[in-house]
Amino acid sequence: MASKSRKVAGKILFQVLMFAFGLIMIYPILWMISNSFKTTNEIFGSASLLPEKLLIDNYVRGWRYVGRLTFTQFFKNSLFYSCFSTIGVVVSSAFVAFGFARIPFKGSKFWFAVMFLTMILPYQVIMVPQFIIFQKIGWINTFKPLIVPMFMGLPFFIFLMVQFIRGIPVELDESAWIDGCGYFAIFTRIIAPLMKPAVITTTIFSFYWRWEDFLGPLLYLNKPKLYTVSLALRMFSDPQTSTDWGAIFAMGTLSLIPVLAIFIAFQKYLDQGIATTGMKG
Amino acid sequence: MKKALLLSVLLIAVVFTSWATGAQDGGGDGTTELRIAWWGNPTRDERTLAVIDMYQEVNPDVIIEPETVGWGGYWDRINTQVAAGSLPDVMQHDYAYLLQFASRKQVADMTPFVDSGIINLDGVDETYLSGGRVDGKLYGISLGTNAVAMVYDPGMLKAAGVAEPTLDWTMDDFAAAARQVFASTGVQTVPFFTTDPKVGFENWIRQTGYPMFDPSGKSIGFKNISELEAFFALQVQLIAEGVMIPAEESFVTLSPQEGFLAQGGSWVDFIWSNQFVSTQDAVDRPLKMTLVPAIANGDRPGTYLKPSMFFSIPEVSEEKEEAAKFVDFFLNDPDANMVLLGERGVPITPEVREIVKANVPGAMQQIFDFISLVGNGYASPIDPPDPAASGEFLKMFRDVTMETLMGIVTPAEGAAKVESQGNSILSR
Amino acid sequence: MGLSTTGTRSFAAKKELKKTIAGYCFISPWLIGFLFFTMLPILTSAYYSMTSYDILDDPVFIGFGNFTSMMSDELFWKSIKVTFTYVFFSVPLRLAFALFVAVLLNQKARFLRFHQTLYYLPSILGGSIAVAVMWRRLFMADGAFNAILEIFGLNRGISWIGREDTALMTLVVLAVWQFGSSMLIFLAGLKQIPQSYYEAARIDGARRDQMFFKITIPYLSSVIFFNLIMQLIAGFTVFTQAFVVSGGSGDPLNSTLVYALYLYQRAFKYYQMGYASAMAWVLVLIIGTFTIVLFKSQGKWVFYESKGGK
Repeated sequence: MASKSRKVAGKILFQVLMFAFGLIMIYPILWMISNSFKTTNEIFGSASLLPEKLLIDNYVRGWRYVGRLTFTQFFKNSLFYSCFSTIGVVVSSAFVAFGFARIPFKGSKFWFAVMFLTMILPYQVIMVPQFIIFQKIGWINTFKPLIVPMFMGLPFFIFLMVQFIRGIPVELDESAWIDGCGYFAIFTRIIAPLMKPAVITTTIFSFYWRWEDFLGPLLYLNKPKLYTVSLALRMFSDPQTSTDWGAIFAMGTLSLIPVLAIFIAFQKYLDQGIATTGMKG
Repeated sequence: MKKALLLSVLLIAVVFTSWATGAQDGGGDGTTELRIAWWGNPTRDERTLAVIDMYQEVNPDVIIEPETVGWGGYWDRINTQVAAGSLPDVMQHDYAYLLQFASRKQVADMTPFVDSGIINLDGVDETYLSGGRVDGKLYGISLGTNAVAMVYDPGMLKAAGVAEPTLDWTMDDFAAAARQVFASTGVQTVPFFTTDPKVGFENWIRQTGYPMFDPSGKSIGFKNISELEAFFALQVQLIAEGVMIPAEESFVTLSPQEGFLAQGGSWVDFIWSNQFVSTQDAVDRPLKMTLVPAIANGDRPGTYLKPSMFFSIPEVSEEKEEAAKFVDFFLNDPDANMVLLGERGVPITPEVREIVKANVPGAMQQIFDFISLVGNGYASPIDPPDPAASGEFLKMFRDVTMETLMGIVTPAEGAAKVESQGNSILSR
Repeated sequence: MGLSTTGTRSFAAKKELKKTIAGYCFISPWLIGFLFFTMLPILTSAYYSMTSYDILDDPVFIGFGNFTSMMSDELFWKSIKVTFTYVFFSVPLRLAFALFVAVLLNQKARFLRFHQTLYYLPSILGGSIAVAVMWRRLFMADGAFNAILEIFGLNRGISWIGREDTALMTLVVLAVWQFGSSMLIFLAGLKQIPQSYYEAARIDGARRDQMFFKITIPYLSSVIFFNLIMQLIAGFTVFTQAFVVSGGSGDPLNSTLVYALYLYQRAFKYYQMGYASAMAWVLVLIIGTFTIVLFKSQGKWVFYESKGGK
């Protein structure tokens, strides 16, 4: 009896501790969201999560940004960049992955090793020369330097998809060969449909990374009209001029909504994706 | 396999289509796009945007894209744009950097626009224009005149039983006042010019007759680093006594609204005179401005009249004439200047100056009075523009000032560090 | 007969050629991208690293000049120190937290799914600018962190992002806070450990901590190893968080001047493209060394199942 009630107490304690710790974890996010409804003076020096009253003003003011540009433009830009890049990177990565995983061509191993090496290459090495190349061909202040490389596939995603394709039984291909299919047909008819889980996972992560990308837009998008949400938020919250913290937090909160929405909708795939591929969120 | 080839061709085609569609943005439909960039503060942004709206109303075929951030972010941004070859059509410029941009041919000579009458500078005194001239060419047009100032809260002084500063205040008087304010009210004092401490020391060293930088631009301009040591030591002493706000807090970049003066943590702040407008906007108590306290053994005033900021037209702009028209509007339009109200400094064109002067609210009136006061015997001539490496120098100076005020190095070590590192940066 | 062998041979050769063409077709997007957007920049970067290049004028060859001036560049050493401090605190702490929470979540209890979501959420949102901007506000002198300390009577009005000795730690906390994704990976690994191992150990009278170090850690070692490498690389190249939290400057007193931020400043603030390129190669050297050392050391502590890890 005593041991049973001790067990129950232990369970309750466990739940309480886990929940308390979880609360600490999401406190900053809740704080930001609640701040988006507060006046700036209310934000200073306050840890409270409850605004005195719900101010929608912050969202209206924030959305207007400065000048004639509004966050409508920045959300459009971010969506354009994120969606277009994601389509490109997923399609081309899957395509390339099939080549590496299923066609034992000459040099395959060599190029795969090269690709693997580029995964640990810090972006900083190519940042400066890439910038100079794109500047010379007049790609600055367009989305091209950000999107075009994505259409060439991303080694990380290719690698993951190769792993995934290798898990698909080869017998399926072989029976297709007998039916007279070529590589392309095998890819589109047999492998691609089976890759759904990998495709969904990479799509989500690609979207996240592009949505949150900061350095790329910082380097290549120098006109306010082209700013992505990330960049606009940074400019909006410039430490020397930003005073309207309510509006900053309101726009910050909005910028998280697409990320949260996808998280809620695809959580199952996300968990699977991370667990099976070891991908970083 | 043919299909495989087809698909890869298709992919590449998509890439190039996206390239082609992305390549053509803006313009084309009879409108002109003008990008105008400035570093700002909330007051300035509001007024400048209002003027931009006015301009667009009169010129419906011009679409203006404003770009504004704070001082630090502005130059980071401009530097990236220089590297990218994508500077805006009109950029706000500073005396410290104009020479560097002019010598690299990144900003255009505006003389042709003045000669053709697009930019009307009739009656403008040459002294206001000379700051924007390099080798006889006009690379920037001054938007106003500025001088360093000390801004204080007379109410706080009164509450502490301290007399308001006089024009002959020395650093000792200042320190004594700061101590008394702290002793009787607990209100502290901010260090000198925390966003750019070099401004504070420049005012100090100029009083001894030496400039901050050697005219050659290759070394620091003063020989006696004991003055720098004294500059540090005064602040270190006040921090040790608890009178001055420690550098850990006072050097965090903040907007005027979050600043110590606005939040009641300090009775004083150090600014450029034109910033008085935005400072007063941020502080809900009446403020006054006066000269920065002098050193005890000075030979001349350290304060000087400076073009507060310029408008320049970058060489890469494809709309130089349209840009020049906007600059003219900004300088000369009476209605526009009724909105701007000299926020960028006392206007340079005589008519506008008169109009603005007759209509300015209290805060602005103080700036006008202050500038004419400085002009009447409290200024010494301006030094040549800062050398090209000044950006790096200013960062180093601020770092060393912080290190010293935080007690990581002694004032003597700090001064020696500025001398050795400063000379090595400048001589490169 | 001879005819038939040449026939098969040429048939085989033809098939081989066909495969090769198909293979290169499929990998062509990546290969083209690699050549133009990676290989070409790498080669030019190697060249730029030996030049003085301000992007406006042509590069001037100066040999190893950039590397030697790096040696006497105080800020370079400062940024190395800052980055190593950041990596050595954030990476192990993050992995330790992830492992600890994963073990907690790997048992039979209610609401685990809910807890898991709470812990994972910061990882999903943490990379965004909004969070970095919020972080700066959180740790200011009048931010919420001090307001919370106030409740416990501990508020000394410290500006956590303003003090040289605490600013970097706010960045470390920001990184550790995002332990969720590693946690999920560990959790998946933990679920694959056969329960029979633990039962056998329990029968032998092993304590919980003994089981953790004798069974859990060795079994997870390959996952930990992979995570360690990925996080080290991410840690050494951290940029955005430092850029936003410090307002782009590495303030206060360069205590948040991480390597990538300093490199960015050299390239895009002072237009020293050559110097920045040289710095990038030093970064490659650092990351390469760590990766190689880790790979070399893995035989000592990483157990793979096939080798019969215990």
